Amino acid sequence: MKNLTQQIEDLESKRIKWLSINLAGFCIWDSLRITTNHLLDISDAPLLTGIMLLGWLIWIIGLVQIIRLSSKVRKTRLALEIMNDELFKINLLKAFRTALVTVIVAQLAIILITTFITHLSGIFVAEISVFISVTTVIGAFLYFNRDR
Amino acid sequence: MAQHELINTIKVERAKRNMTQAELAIKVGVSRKTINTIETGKFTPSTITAIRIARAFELTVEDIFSIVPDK
Repeated sequence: MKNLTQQIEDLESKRIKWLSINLAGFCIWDSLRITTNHLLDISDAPLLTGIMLLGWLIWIIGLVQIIRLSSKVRKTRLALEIMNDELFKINLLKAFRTALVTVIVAQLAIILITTFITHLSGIFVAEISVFISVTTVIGAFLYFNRDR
Repeated sequence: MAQHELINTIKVERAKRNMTQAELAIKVGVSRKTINTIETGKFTPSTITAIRIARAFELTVEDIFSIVPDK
């Protein structure tokens, strides 16, 4: 029993750790990618390119670790059930709801900007929307799933 | 309709049996975090989880959970 409880605790803390790393990597990589694609010309800024690549690498490592963790959890039926219990599912739903509201608000802000201030390209708006939705889902899930 | 607060005796029953939250969580099939949030009244469990918790203590749901109307 002690061994199993410890295993579940380890898997849960690893899930939070790798999700946080994944979020950090995605934030660094995608925010710099959007900035350099649409707002800044950094063709001769190797430092920014290096940071962007580092962010991408962190994101990929986090993603691979999460996939590895999922396959490990799936091996034991009890672990799978415990790791995906009702609190987890509710927190996930709350995170998706938060992201949906955030994206709607962002879209409204974009409409206001394009109407009154400046035109924004379609691809820029799409990339910003993806960035906001992904970071908000993961960030909100980590927030709702924190130890209280 | 009046709002009601759900209270429970999980902590007391665990103490009687010298059982940790993690051990109860495994018996019920949920995470330790879920047991902790239910025990502290931050999360209201589903009927299934409430029944499982009661069964883990070999008690009825009413022995573990009760509602008190808000004043």
